[in-house]
Amino acid sequence: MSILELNDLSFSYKTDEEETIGVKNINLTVEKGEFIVLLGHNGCGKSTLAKLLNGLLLPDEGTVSVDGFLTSDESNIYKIRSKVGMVFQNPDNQMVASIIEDDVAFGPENLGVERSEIVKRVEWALEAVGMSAYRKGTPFKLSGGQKQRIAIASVLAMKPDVLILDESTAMLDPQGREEVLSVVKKLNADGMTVILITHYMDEATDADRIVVMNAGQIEATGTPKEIFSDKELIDRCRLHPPVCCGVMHKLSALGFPVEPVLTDEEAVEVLCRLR
Amino acid sequence: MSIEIKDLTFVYGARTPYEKKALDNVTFSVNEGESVGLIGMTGSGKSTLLQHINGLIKLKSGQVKVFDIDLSKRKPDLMRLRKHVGMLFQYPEYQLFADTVKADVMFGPINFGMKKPEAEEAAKKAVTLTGLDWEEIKDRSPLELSGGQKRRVAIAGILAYSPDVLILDEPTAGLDPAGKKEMLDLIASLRKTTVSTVITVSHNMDEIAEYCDRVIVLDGGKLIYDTTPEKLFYKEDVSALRLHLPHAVRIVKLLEQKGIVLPHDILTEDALVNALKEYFLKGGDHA
Amino acid sequence: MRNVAFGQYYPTDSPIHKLDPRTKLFAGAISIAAAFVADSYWAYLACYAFLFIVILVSKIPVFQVLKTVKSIFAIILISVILNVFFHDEGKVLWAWWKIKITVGGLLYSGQIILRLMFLVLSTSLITLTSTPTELTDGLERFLTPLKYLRFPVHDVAIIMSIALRFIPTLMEETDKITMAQKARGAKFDVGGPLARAKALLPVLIPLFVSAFRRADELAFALDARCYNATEARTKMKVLRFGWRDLTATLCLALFLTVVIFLRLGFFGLL
Repeated sequence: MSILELNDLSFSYKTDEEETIGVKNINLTVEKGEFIVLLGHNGCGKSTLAKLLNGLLLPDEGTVSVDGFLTSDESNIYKIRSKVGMVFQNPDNQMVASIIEDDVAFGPENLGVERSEIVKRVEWALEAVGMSAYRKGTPFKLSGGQKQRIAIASVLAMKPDVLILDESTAMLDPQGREEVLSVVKKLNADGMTVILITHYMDEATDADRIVVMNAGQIEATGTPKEIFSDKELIDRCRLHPPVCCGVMHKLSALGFPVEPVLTDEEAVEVLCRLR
Repeated sequence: MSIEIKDLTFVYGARTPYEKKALDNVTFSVNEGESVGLIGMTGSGKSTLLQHINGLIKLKSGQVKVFDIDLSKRKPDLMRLRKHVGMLFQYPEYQLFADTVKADVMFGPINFGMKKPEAEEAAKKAVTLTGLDWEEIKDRSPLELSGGQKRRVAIAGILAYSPDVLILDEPTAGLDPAGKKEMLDLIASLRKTTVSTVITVSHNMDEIAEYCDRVIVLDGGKLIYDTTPEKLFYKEDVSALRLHLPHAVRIVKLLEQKGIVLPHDILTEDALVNALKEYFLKGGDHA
Repeated sequence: MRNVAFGQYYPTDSPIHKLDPRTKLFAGAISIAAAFVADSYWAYLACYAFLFIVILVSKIPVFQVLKTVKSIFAIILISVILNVFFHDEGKVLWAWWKIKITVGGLLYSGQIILRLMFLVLSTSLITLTSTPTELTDGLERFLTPLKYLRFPVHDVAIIMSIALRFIPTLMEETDKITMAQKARGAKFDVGGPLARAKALLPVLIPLFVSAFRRADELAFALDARCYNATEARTKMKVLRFGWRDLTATLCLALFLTVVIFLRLGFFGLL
């Protein structure tokens, strides 16, 4: 069974005066262990989609099923939220406690996990993000990257099957982004299903699949190579592919026989063959 | 000379358990018309340095001189200093407060002594410069604008009092790729039309390489490089600083290892494409 | 950026820091009681001697503790002025109209200063030696019996914890916004009270907008981490009342007894 199944999913934000479309007619299946990157410009519906996946928002139409449980069934909601962990954009706005280990313990405490088990999970989760040394410390003196790793640990302590990162690297410096990404990739290698929402195209090159959203709908899904070699799609959805891809597009437009690449190293290989 | 800084040292929380040296003997100057990129890891002292240039932090040791205003003198004219040096903070949209865009953009000019009609004229001009439609936007609440529009309004709020130097602290942070590109193009066009001297803080080396003609690198509060982007990225070994190379530079260096030698002034995607085109059209064995 | 100390917490590795937060809250109650029971300079000598020993044991530099008195300087000054001029007792030293300075008034004012300072110093010592989490935990346990009266003890504890957690963040943010507005020529220190209050709006409005935005995001984050999932919530940290706490409690009891005896004149000192 797929871990996530989205069927004809639609959701719109309603105020008294108007209705704005969040997402529309989304169909998507995510398998266990996949690394999915969700791309699209601001306001394209990525965050809305993310919040629908763990029942923070409920669909107007269609269904979201997590490991077989429907988010629309209220009795499932906490099971779903503990299965689909979510890390948000601003590291400062998702910490509850002033001591790191207390913050990590918050999720399992809410779920009524037994004390000895919480202690084990907190230890494990902080270890998994490489922050064990800071266990008794406070988050205020930490860097953005460290804070986001704590936020990941806090989610891991609920033992989720899926980890969603909703632009969690957007406010970080390059070092912080690297720290967070390497943690996420390691977790994925150990079997965690990851959905990474980002604006940084170079974070997408390692994905199993890229999902591109535009105006609330899924415009395309495919491997990084398929997505980044589609010049028309890139322009239409206002994506800015990594420099190496851009170079290849431009050379190809000039008539050079080049092929799509994802990394600087691949680009160099292709260019060497042009000699 | 627009800005002159000499032996600037600053220590936070002196004589407490949290003591930290933020700036350590920093010396440099900025000339009119320069576009300077200020780079360094988080905590390297960039923000503290910028705050000094704007008189937002009390000078303790060293010299800071902006035009004719010397901050090491007693009672420097901070208002005149701040009018000269427009400073855009990180996530500037969070400083918008007035109930209309017009009132918010007029805040600066009025503080600096303009009369209302004059300030409104200045606001109109500034908002238009940032690419927004004055008539359409002036009476709207800043809160209901999109992220990119808010940031433009914040920039307009600074341009409105016609500063001579613009300091931008991570002007593209948090924007999507299209928004980033628009913001950088806006800054580049402002440099041609409105404010010629710009200091930009950025973590993105591709942006620095493309838009700055001089770079200053801070590390642990010390100024360690003050040079051109070409020299910094091609001549110096920046890997120890955990600085990334601009992608174009990285590709040039990798190509060189494989025997394809391109000139060492390539900093951008377009420059790289042009150089490659030339290289391959000429047969590929002379560079 | 101003150096935002974490609440007031001053980390050292001392026996006082290791006490159960409930013991420390209890100690706070005892010192408040002692401050009001004490009515003589001998009693205050006892209070300050006790306080001094605790500061020594806590390994916090004395000046760090004394600094906390600064915050109530104005209150001390006002109450001293009132008492010096209006407390009419004993030999009159100076008089004008209805205002008199008397020996009794001076002595009484001295006691007021000592009392107020003792209150601040002893409560500060609690916040200097305990993290906010410990204090909210301690308070939550103290309030637990109220659960049976359907008082939402846990929600209140979470609210306190979040409030404490966000104080440094919001202080930092206030700093940033203030600087941004100063850069735009805002002046906060000119004009009368009304003008000054108005000058704060460019800081306060963005601060509120941002606080609401943070609250919004935090609400999602709480939900995403299953807040309120079950009534049977568990706790990772179990507070343990150990030998240290027993010793501390006995010392506190002894201290209060001494102060009470001094008041009752048991030692024949008054």
